[in-house]
Amino acid sequence: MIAKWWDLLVQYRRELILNPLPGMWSFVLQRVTGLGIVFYLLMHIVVMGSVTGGPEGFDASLGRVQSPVIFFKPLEFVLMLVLLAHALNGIRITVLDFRGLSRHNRVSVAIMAAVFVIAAAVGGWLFLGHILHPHG
Amino acid sequence: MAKISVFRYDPELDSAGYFDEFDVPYRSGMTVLEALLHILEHEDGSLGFRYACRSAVCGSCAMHINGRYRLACATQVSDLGDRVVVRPLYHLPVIRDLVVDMTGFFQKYERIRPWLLNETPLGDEERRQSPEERARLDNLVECILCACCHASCPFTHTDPEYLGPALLLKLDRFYADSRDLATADRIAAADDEHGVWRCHTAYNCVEVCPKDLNPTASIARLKGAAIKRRFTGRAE
Repeated sequence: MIAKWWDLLVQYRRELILNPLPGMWSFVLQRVTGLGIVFYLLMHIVVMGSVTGGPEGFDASLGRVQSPVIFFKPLEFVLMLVLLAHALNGIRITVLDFRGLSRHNRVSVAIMAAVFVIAAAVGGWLFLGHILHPHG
Repeated sequence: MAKISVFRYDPELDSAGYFDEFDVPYRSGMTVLEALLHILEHEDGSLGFRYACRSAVCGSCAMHINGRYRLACATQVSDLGDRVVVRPLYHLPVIRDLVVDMTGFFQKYERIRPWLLNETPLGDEERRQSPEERARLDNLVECILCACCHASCPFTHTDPEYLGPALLLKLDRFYADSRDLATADRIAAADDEHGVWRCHTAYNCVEVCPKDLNPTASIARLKGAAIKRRFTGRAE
């Protein structure tokens, strides 16, 4: 199973070398972020499924994946980036497909990248701002 | 001199492929195909590659040249920088050097029945089309089946049964033809896990097509028709 996934990643790397094109990069990004989200959801279910003992139990379970803040907050930020990239790319492909805009793939990738950078900057401030300025 | 690096593989002699370097005397306007012909005639008569028309019509000389699938006859050496690297089409078995086995590709081509399906008997006249009906076929009829898009599509590798961009564009060409009466069959052929739904819109096919066609638009059109057919039961 793992060998199969590994083969697929090697395959994508080869495709990227042979087709260094924006659409190919966005496809690989979609696959890799998709796998990351599946992995996160599994962990999410495990953590939520382990909650027992009312509100205190909930706080205790959540507390295990919140401290130390310096480790988990940046991870949350990475999760946000992964979800953002996956969502934006999914919307981009759907719009291109169903609005007959497939000639505008490169422009749409550029627009998506710009929206991603702006949203990531805002998200970064919201997620990480208080770590950088704990008394601000 | 132009430096040309060519993929070599002879299944009877080599366990794996490798690259051979050649220095070819450059002249203005030289195409990659001309460079390969120079190698064949003056350097190494065993080099295998396909070509026929030399004018971007037959699609025989499709190969991977400097980071892109293209036709060797329509690619000038001067556009490629100091070194030209030539490989065979990917996702198709290599027979020798730059020659790939297109059998699977053309077997899938037959599967889409690339001819007009119309049982109504012909009278004394040919089947006529209005200029508008013919305009719908513009571009769609220009595919030369070079398989550049097929080689560039990452899903023709992971699913060997996948029709691929060229053949789905051909399917759209018959779906869009007013003289073809098998519209429901055409949509059914596309509405399959090895049909339009295997496309994940990487757009490599649109980028590499030497005839500047748009297979992804064809796939999107067939996807729309398939969805409409599933919801309404109507094939339009």
